[in-house]
Amino acid sequence: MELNPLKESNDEYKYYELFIGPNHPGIEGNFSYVLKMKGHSVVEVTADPGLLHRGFEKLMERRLWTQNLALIPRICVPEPDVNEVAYCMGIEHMMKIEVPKRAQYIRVIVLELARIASFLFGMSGLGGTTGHYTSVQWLVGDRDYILDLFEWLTGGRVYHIYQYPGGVKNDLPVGWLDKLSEYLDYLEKRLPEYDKFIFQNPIIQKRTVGLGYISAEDAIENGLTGPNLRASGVMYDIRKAQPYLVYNELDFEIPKTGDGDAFSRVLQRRLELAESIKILRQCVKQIPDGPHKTKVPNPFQFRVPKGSFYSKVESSRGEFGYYIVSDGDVKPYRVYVRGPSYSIGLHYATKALVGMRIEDVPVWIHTTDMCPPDFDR
Amino acid sequence: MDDILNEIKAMDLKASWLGDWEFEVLTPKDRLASTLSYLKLKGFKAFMGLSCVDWIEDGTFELVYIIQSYDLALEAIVKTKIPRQKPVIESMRSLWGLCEVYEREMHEFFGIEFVGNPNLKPFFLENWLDTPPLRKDFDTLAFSEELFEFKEDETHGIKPPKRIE
Amino acid sequence: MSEWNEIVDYFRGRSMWMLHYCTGCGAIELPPTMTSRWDMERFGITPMATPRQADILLITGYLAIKTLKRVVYTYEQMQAPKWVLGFGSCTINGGIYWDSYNVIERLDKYIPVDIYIAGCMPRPEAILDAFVKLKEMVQKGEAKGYEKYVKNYEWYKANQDRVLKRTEPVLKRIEKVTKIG
Repeated sequence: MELNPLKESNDEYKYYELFIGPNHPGIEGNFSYVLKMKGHSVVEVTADPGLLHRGFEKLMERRLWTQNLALIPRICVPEPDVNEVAYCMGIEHMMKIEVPKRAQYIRVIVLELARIASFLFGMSGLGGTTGHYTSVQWLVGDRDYILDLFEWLTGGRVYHIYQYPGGVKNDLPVGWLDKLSEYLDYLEKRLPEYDKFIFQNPIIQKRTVGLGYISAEDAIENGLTGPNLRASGVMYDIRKAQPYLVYNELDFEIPKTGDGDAFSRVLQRRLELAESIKILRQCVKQIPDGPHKTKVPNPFQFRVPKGSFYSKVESSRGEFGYYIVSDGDVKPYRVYVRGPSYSIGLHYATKALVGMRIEDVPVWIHTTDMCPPDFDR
Repeated sequence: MDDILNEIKAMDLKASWLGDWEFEVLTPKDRLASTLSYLKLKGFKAFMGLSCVDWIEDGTFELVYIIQSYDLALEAIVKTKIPRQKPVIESMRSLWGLCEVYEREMHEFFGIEFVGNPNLKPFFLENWLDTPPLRKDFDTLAFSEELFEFKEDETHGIKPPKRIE
Repeated sequence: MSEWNEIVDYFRGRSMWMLHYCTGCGAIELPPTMTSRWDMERFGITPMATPRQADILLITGYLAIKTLKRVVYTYEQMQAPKWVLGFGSCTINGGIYWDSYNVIERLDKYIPVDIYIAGCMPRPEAILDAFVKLKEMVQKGEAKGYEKYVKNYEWYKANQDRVLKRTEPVLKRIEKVTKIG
């Protein structure tokens, strides 16, 4: 019998555990994957969420219907407006409130601006993980001008708390739309430059083309939504398929990339950003005059009729859904939040990252643009 | 679009429209799997979410499965009720692998047991010993006050810190 | 010796490295502060990947119980002249999550905080202002939170263990959970 202590110890140390997150530059936000590694490649992935869990669904049951509007933007930090709009749309549907046309246009403007901000932020994150820091500096800087617009409109840079059941809190300030058009002109000039230094950049191309391919069947089966789903070739967008607000009056297209790899997921966001600019330009042109809100009961008498409704909004990451249950009281009975990153971050990543090399893991994570606060809630 | 609703009604299940793009189906607990697999065959291939409502006065948990069809652009909301005292239901992870994580979450937040799901370990919370937090009888304010509130006299038998110059 | 300390403190204040750890939603205002528009590297502050090389621990907002554990680990790994910056209302009294079952309320109870920034969210200007203020405090030798932590280690540990090492339900009056199997 051959005794070889070295060989045995080698077997033991064949696998090692690696923590990506919570304190790691390669992860988005405060979230953790535990990777079981063999050499350079990933063998097993465990997701470890809950580092941002605040118990929103419990807290919302304790607050009045309209008090919740201050709470929910915090569910998705980079793009808080989708929460407010989805929640307000749910309440309006249950109470049968008609929202004035002008308020709907303002909502579309706010949503699309937030989408652009979120896309810029997501694309800058990719630059951080590939060591391409120019894109971080440029894109975050450009995003900041959107926050300036929001600050003028709502008073807050990050959290706006601007929507209200029945409309929006206040009308557009004088001159705001001109400033918006100016910004769009600026951004349109910048877009070809982004193409040059991000999408035609050999470093980013080598790091992302062909990485982490997701087929259309996989994407549907694993509940991916939004740009990740569309990059895999399933052309489903809630704005087109189940139009809400005034999206059916606006002319825009869903760009098709359809390769399903990491590069096409980023490219999809870039092309949708151009469509968002198109939508904003139409809104600036078409926005009608009129009231920006309708009369609703005061917050202490604000009761939503008994029933339940699932309202949803297409966010920059996918379908953001609010399942709202009311028992006719002044407080919600139960609100369930469906964050778009939930399925990809907690379920699909544990399968997709297996077999990948360690340096590709952060790139994959950033190209899916996941947002830990929305699945931790 | 009413066809699918009529077909479901023909199966002796209650179904109704909730909005323009979504309908709800009420099903008993033992017919949940067959209803969901029927809808999956009909094109509702994407699993969007699993939620639970604690109807404490009726003594039931209402499980809510949200599934979507990309071809029909429709959302189906399948609801089933299970008793609150003995919350057991079969796992749907054979239909959608995605259900595994949602069920794990519901197990943690409501204490529902999913038969057939091997992975019901703690997920979001660490070292949780109280009532599952999203149940209606869990008082989050009392919990927070008890665990986190700063009481000046609370010194654990150690002398309180003095401010350092 | 005291003159030597003054010189050391002066130089400490001029190169403070910040740990790149996004503990809460306040982290969203850090990229603008770091990048071209506000550029905090002007003040000698730059993000650092590991706690062993960092001087500043920025607690950006609320801390869930699970994160508190990691933050305490991280804080104890950092080397001695180290400062904690409480960012946003949540670190002061729990902020909007005052009644949440998973968010701590007062950060000062668990690790010593040198300076707070109020607001939700604090603006990048406020962050820079806090950094400048902290720099002044360090240069004057006023920010001594880490010494406080060593001196009152038992008190801090007891507070941490109370939250992190629970052995029985917090709310005892509620009957046992009905669990099957």
